[in-house]
Amino acid sequence: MTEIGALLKLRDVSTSFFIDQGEVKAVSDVSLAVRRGEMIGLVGESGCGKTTLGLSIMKLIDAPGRIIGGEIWLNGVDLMQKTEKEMRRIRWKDVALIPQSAMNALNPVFKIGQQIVESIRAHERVTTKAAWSRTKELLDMVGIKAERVRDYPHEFSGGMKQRVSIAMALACSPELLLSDESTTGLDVMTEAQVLGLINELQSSLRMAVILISHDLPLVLDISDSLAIIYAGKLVELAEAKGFAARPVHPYSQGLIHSIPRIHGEQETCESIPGSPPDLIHPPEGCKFHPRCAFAEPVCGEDEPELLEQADGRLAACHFAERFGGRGDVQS
Amino acid sequence: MSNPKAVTHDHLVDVIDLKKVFETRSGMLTRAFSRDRQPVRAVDGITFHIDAGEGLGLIGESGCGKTTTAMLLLRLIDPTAGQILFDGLDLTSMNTRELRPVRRRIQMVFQDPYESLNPGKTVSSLIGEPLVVHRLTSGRRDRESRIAEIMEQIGLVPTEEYLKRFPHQLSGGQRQRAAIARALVLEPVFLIADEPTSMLDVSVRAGILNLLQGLRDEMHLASLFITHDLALARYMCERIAVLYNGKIVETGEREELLTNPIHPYTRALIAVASSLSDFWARKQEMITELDTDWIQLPEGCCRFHPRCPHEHGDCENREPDLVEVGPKHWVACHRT
Repeated sequence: MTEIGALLKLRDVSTSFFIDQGEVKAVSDVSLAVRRGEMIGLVGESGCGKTTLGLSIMKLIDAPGRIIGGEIWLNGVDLMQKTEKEMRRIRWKDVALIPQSAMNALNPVFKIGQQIVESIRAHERVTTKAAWSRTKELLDMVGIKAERVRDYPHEFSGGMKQRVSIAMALACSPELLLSDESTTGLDVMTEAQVLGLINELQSSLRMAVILISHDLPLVLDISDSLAIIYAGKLVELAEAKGFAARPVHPYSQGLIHSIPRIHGEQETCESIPGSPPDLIHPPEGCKFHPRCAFAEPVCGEDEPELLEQADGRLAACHFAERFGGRGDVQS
Repeated sequence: MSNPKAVTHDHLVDVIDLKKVFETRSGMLTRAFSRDRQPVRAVDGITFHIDAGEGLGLIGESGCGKTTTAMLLLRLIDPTAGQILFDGLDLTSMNTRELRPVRRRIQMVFQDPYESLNPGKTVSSLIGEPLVVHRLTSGRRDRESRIAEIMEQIGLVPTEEYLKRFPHQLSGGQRQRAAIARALVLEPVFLIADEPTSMLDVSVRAGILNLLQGLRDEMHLASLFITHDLALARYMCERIAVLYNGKIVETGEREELLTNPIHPYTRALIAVASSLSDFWARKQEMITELDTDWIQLPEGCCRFHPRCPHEHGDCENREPDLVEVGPKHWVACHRT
């Protein structure tokens, strides 16, 4: 979590959508650092802003949405200062995205090889021949036989299509890979294999990976660190290892306690009462306080900052010290 | 194992060698260009039972026949072969009129509460509708009190606040509660739940699971819980059956099945759900990924053999039967 030498640094990034009903504050004041070779899991419920944050990093927010503030530093370059034309060169080359649904991400009327070649040639000056041979290497890397380059998307299984979109994302050797629920909807076995591939490539290519997911046990299992996001705010940022045993933020605790386990003592799962807030009129103070079992009057008045705790993690809770963190150790 | 005459009636539900084959209807183009068209054997001879008050978890990947099984049990589709005995009645031989009183006692909660509730009806008419259809209440007042009662039971309280709401005015969790109320207002003895929490957010899932568990105890409900998540099946059910490609490959009591799995498919599922990082490191349980979604296997072979990590002996020539390997623990694999 140290910012020194980080590949990606976000400082107070806020993104809003301006609709007829008002301003939807999808992401507010998110600061985050991702190191080279690190896999960080971005976890939260649907509508918490995790995809918006991912798209903000690539500056892919379209009207009515807008990044309203903050800095996005990738490899020492502030992306906020870049024009759309410059961004086009950065996307795919420096930062690439594996989208959620591979079935819809691939064009059904073009052969998969053509689609990968097209994306390589859009970003690099290479001959068609070189692009084709690179495409075959990429497919080989993700475990697809080179002779299948001339197949159409419908000739592949769901998992294989997801592999094709991984190959495509890797086409220009990005340093940062965003995986936005890229295995949701796949079968568990296929998911295991696709994530295994991402994990393998990440360590062999020293890529940084941001794994956007709602599946907390999965993220805890495979990523190095974990960012929990609630109502557009980071509420806890910690190492993934050992997190399940000691979550600090009450929302993180709630998430951990809501998931049944496959082995060991079967505890009664509890849901978090209430539902996520309306992001046009978010609650005053801590955004989680209306659903929090430990809330006190101060929680409804002051918004807690994301502060460093004794063990190095960050948590945004007024009473972090009660839950194993130490709120008074300021960074 | 699948001799109908051997079956006694001590189980609430007895499914015997049930089969459903979908004939693929094809258009002119497919007929002209495609060489081999085979019917889809969605459910291919499954046998299981559920006792009164018992929960059975049906586990499997998408397309393995889980939902088809649920549809067959409700006779929403007709089986190709086999028998479904419910409380001693043979559902497969009944006509629609005879089925009606039985259907009151078998109810279903569907996967997606965003699709399964009529958006034009209020909560009170959604829950009241089954009562009207089955003529269970005498008059409006009786019906209203019954609706209020069930709403309290499933936690849509205060009831006055929710009675006149439409589905779009409810959260996902509340919608699923309304769908559960709709099923349980008929006081069934058997409840089928098809992935009832997979469309809901993690933070509200546990509420629905605990509600279903509580109601099962209170109403002594037998249930078939369909899911792809082993941890959920463990939480909800006493026994688990693993379905692969239309066949039950392993079934047993939950702790026995989870700690002592035998079929390579079950072992892989458990390994993946336990820890992905261990699964990748060891690769022992790794099963082969399929190149295409569509796999056509001839009859009379193990359905799993193209993906099986072990040596193939008889697997390509003979279909394994379910064999009892321990108390209530059955496995269909030649290697046992």
